[in-house]
Amino acid sequence: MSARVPARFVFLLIGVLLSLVLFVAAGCGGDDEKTGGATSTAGGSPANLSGKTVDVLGIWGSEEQADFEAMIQQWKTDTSAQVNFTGSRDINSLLTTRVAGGDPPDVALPASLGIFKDLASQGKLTPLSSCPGLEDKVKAEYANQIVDLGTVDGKLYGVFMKAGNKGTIWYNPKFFQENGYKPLTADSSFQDLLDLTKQIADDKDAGKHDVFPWSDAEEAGGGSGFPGSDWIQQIVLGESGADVYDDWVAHKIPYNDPKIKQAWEDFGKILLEPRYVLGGVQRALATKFSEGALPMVSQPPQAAMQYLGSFNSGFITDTTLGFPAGLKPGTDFDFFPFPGGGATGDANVMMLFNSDPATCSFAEWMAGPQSQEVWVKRGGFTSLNKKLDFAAYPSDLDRRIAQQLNDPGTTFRFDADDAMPTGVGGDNGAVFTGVLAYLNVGDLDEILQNIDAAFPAGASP
Amino acid sequence: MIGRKWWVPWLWLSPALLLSGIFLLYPAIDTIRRSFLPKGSDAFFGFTLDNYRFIIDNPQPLVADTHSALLNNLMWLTIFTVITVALGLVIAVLAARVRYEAVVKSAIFIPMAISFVAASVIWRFMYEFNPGIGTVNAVLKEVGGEPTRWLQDTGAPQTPFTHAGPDSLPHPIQINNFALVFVGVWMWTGFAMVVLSAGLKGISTEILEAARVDGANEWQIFRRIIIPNLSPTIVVVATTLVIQALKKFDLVWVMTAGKFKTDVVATLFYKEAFLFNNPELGAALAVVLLLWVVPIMVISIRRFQFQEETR
Repeated sequence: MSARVPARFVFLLIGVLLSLVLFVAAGCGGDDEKTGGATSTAGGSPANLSGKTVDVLGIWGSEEQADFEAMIQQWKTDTSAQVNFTGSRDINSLLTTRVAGGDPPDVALPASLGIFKDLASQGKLTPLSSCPGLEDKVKAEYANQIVDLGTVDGKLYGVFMKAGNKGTIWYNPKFFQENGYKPLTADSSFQDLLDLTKQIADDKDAGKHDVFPWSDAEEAGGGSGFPGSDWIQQIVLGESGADVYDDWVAHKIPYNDPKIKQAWEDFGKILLEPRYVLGGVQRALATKFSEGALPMVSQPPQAAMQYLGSFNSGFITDTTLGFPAGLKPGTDFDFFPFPGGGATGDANVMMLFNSDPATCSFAEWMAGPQSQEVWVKRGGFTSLNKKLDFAAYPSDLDRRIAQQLNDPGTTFRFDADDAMPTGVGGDNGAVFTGVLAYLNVGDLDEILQNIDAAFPAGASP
Repeated sequence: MIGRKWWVPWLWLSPALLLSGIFLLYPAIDTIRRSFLPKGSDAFFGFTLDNYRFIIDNPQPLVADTHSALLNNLMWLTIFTVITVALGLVIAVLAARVRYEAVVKSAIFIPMAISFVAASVIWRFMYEFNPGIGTVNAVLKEVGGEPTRWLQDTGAPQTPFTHAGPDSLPHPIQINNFALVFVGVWMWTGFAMVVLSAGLKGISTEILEAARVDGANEWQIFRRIIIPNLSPTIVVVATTLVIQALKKFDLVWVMTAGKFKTDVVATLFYKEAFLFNNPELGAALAVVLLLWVVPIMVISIRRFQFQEETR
């Protein structure tokens, strides 16, 4: 009899605890709402969309979501339509699941070329030509290389509108000036960058100053290793040119091609040299990417340069990350273009799943310069729309980032890792893991061969 | 006489059967079906062992290191379970002897009440490399140690039995794996303690007193009376923990996302099925996990039935 009570109690307790666990797990689930979305006759005057809701899936949350809301406020007032926005960093799995389940949103704005190409070639997307006038508008307002990016099988499916510029090397201008180092220009080569690096390291060893050439930070959860992947794609684009880059991304040349291997080795020439990188690879691998610039702007600085995309300026001015208050772009930190004259970057691509009047009207508003100007003025938005006035950018730094990207002389290419198939590029993919392995001691030939093997069969060169 | 009709038990069972049919049986069968389909196949039925061969051959160690995931699960299974049960038992026995039992037990149980994801986020900060943020490294620095890359270091911990430095062979004896297991232990010790403590209270004091009268010391009582009497409860706790260890996902996903060879089977199958657009391989990994869990479930159900019969 005495054993009866505890045993029961034990099972009851286990039951309670397990259901508790289930509740915790269930709390992560989201809710998805269905839109009204019944088609009605298209109209010229915007006011007749009242009662319509556009279901939008994006990646923005908190502050960026407020920026997005501000951007569409005017459209909502003009048309009396509603926008049901779901923002999630996990947009790829969300979108895949919703499309597979037959419940796609009206508009999606992921920052991924891979999922866009997948959905377009599977026929899940609505071409922009289905919306009256939209295709012509996009072709008129965006550069050819951006329009090409949104074209799959000869049809325009997407607008790449909000871009990140990854052709930016950040440096400490005060330190450069005091020691007579010259920031590089778009005409410089990777060798110039190596020379500059060596110069700074030699001067440090000679006791001229106590500053390492580089700070690097690779930690980003599932995306760990992405800064290294960005290094490599910039080197490929700058040193081997756009054609090799395109072939590389499309897997027309194997991943372990000598040119690609050379880019990895060039990357290693800087990162694997303990004299060049503050704290060596050890620190780089364990430091959060958003905090990589800390030693560059600290007083006194411990590192002269850091490579990361244009979004880095947002971190440097964010005191909650531990950055000192009042840092001024241009004097306390600045960027010079990554040598080679190319800029890689990701971009939010807007894609449509139907051509309802409300969807079309929303897409037209989002693609145009008036809406984007709202966010540009609030900061953090680099537009690819040619019609947008550079004067709208809130600072000189932002303006230069946008100008570099929109300069007809700059070859813009989409992030290589992201343009590669899932499993190869992107979070947790072979490239990022390969970067980590390379920095952690790995054998380069083996790593490159492994990345190449991760490409789906049939896509081999 | 409603109780005599043959269908009455089935009537009462039907909601449970229906629910477990929809939410357990159907997905399980569907997963098994999928695991035998070739990659990207639209067919409803197919038979290929490619997915299972992938798991055995481990052809893509950078994307899906199946060997290290299986080994890591094995490590979780053994080290996590043993440490958690042992700690829970020790604390349960010791707490029963102090005046502040309720306070001690509440303190140990609290981690269980936090969402596992939140706890993982907290520990990610605790393990941060920068001693200005990471509490663990800050303490290490205070006592004169070097900051450790708790979540990135794939080297073996330095002990007289292991050599330092990374190894090209997959092996789960890595600093970062131990750091993750420690968090798991921190979360689950409270559970083990509470259940074992309840079992402890069920041991009749007469037996304990009889033993004392016979001259047994405390260690002998623990070894010869408490442990045998508690063994059904220990098995229940261990089974629960083993199943937890096998399906470990949240903690690893939040803290390392499987980077630096910390993947377990559950994180790997999530990546394959939902991120890499490779649901067939994901299904095969899930089946491997299922095959691993089933014997443990069977043993524990058998044991439960046996107890019910001999009662």
